[in-house]
Amino acid sequence: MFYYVAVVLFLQNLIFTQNLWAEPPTEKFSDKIRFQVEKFKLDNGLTVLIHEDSRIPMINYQQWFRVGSRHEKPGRTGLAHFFEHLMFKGTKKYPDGELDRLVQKYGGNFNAFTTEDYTGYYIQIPSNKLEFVIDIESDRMRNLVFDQRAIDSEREVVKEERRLRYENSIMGSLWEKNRQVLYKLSPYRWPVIGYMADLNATSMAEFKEFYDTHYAPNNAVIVVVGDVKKSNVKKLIEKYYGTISRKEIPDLKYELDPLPKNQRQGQIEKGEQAITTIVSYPGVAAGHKDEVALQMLASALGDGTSSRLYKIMVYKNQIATGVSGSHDGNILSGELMFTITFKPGMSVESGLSLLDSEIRRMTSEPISADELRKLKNTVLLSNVRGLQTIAAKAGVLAEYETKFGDYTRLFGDIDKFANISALDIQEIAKQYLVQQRRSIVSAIPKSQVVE
Amino acid sequence: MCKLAKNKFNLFILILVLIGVGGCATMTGSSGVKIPSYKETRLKNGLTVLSVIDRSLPYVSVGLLVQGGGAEDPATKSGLTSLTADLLERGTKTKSATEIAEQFGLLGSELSIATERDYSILSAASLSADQTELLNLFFQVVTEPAFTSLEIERRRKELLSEIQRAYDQPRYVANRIFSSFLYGAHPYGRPVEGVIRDIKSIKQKDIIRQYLKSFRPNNSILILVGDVQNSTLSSLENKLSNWTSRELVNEPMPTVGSKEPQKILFVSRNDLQQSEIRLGHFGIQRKNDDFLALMVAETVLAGSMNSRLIKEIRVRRGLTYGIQTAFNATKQVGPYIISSNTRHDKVGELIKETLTVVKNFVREGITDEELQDAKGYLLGSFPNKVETPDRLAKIILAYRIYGIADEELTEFVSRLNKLNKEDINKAIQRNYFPDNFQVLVYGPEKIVLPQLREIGAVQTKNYKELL
Repeated sequence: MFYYVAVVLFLQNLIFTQNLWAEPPTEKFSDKIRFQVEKFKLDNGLTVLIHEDSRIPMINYQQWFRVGSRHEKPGRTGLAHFFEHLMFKGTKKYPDGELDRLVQKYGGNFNAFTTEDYTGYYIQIPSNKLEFVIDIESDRMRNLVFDQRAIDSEREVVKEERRLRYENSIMGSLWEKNRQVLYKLSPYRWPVIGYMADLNATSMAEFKEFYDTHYAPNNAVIVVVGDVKKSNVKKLIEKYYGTISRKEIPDLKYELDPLPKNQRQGQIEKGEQAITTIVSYPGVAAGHKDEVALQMLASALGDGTSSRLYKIMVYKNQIATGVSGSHDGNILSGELMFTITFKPGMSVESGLSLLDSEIRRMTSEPISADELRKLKNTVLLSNVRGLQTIAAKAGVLAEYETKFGDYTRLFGDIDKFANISALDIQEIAKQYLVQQRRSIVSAIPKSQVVE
Repeated sequence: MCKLAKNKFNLFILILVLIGVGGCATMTGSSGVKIPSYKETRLKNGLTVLSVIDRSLPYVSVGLLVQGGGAEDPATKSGLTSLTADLLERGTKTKSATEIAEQFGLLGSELSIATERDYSILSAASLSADQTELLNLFFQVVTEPAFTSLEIERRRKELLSEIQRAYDQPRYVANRIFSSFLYGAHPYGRPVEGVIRDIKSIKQKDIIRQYLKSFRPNNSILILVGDVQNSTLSSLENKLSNWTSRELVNEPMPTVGSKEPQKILFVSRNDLQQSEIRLGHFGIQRKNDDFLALMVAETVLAGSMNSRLIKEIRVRRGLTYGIQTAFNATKQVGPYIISSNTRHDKVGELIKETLTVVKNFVREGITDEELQDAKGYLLGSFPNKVETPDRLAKIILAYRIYGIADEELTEFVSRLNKLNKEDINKAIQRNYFPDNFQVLVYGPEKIVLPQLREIGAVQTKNYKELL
């Protein structure tokens, strides 16, 4: 989930140096931000993107696989993320601990993350270590070593991560419950971290099978951004990855939940101070034609101190310490979500009545020209600033290519953002903010639970 | 330019935000790093202006740092400085709070306000075409706050609720109680956001007095970053002419006490799903000759997956997802803190093994290989620190807050290269005191307390007593 916000906002609406709000755009915004990317594919299906940027003598190297928690099965949830941890435990060539030592010694930082749909590995390191990076990443793609002791100790680490992010956290626990209320059939119903019992049960054989099944060049995207020469990168990629065979990636079929017909509710008893609530509406999958408008709708309602929900819930009526809105589009489906952190003593109903009044306003009249300008400027500015680092550029390229097989879509999305009208947003609000389709899930202190 | 390297490691993120080790041009053995240059001027009203010009992207960011921070709060009015800073965006002489939020919003921005121990900082950004509007709005907020009773009451209630909600966040509770445990009545022992009792007692006149006292141009630094136009820079004198300097009251901060023998404080809460652990003692001021040597030492101790603590506590024993250490180097002596969390039945083991690692570290010092690896890391990762003008600005700003000479930048690489193993190990001896760690554990009583009693004498409190 690490890149979602950065990526989605990232290259939407980029550089323009004149105020175009007064008149319709005479040129596409994307023309201004389009930067040079070279894309090629090896015979084994590996996709590679390269962007040269030698502002600093570093490279950012991303290696993403199209596998995430949705590829898991009940009883073995958390497998993709747990496996991600195991990818740092060594190969024959670089035994456990060697990578940590060498990467540090060379001035590098590396890490990884797992989402519902993909797993991304990234490293930032001085550019004179390009060959080293290509060596270790190609090595990890096929030569990972599995050691029972390493698995057992890493299992405990992952369990502590679960305790930290979920079980000992109100927001984490609420998030987990929310997934369960939203989805009964979809593989999105369990959290990426997985359930404790499943983490305890997963065996070495299952990790090996997972690795053999999903970690293949034709299931991967590599992005190299930084102080490199394209021709050199190409040469090294071919040398190190060329001999890795493609694999037949299983085409998994998913049962998806039908559109809900009734409002759903859920709650957990958690904390002592105040209520926290997530209100969700069905959204759209990544890449859907309505995705950009939904993001703008979420932003208008719940992004920042000038957003509608903040003004009415936090500032005017003082029922919450915060409220936020976002649209998350995953590969199979997406959600429009509003999270409300209530003040002690305030009820869920107090928030819902205000939410409803804002939704009524949003559906009955289009937002003002100023509000629209604000939304576009916000996206534009955050992307202009986001464009600065090689890490951000590499990450967004990796996400678009992994999700859609076509990194150029990010330029198209920028133009979409720029061209959204107030009427578009109003239409989207009418279509998606439908009360009987929503769900309301809360974390409630014991003292406020109403039986 | 200068030779320099930067430590960008996770354990230093906190330090770097606060103190920002300087960044510089080239590293040995590699192509030069293009560092944006920066300019420094002073206005007639005493305001220091730092500008980091970079025309490659069409945006500007503006920041204002006001010296003082939470450490300036009177003993019974913790949270005063933070509340004062927060209220700047809640209305000026001519604009309401809503108007201010909307006007920043229109620029695609939001005013960000934060108060730390030694300073408050406000910042915002806009596309470069909007920089005049941005600065006009920003300056109005800074120089003409209204501090109406209505807005003070509103923000006060928000703050009280925020703090109350934070009582359900284990990390917040552990951090806050630990500061108080370590520092006692010293200003650094009080939370910057304040305690509920004090916040309730703050009056409008306290806020106005704090503003007039501290939020002065001669006590502040303005930072402009990005595609800043020359006309913008030359307009500053005029735009800020009504913001007058004022003689500053120099209230020296009390020194901290001396190191104490180890004490364990157990704070009980029975519905926790994981225990929080803190070990710490007084550390260093930012201005300290050992600073560079300690960067190396910290890299070896806990600065990467290859470090001693992480290898032992996380990788080998699987005791935690994270163990972090930091010298929180501030104006007065800041704390050295080791933070971690673990399942309740492993608390004792985690503490014991952490102490063992640190004791060995102090007794044996670092090895030649560790020294080379750490230096390699600090030099190699340096360019990240100055990749953007905003990052460089943070570094320079920190230098100005803490009175660090730019030579720390210009001589970084040569100083780092000159450090040998003996230098580092002597610095370790001077700054790490595992026998003097104050220990805090926040967890459920039944499982955790017996484990702590095996380690030493334990003082026990329910968490509600300490908040």
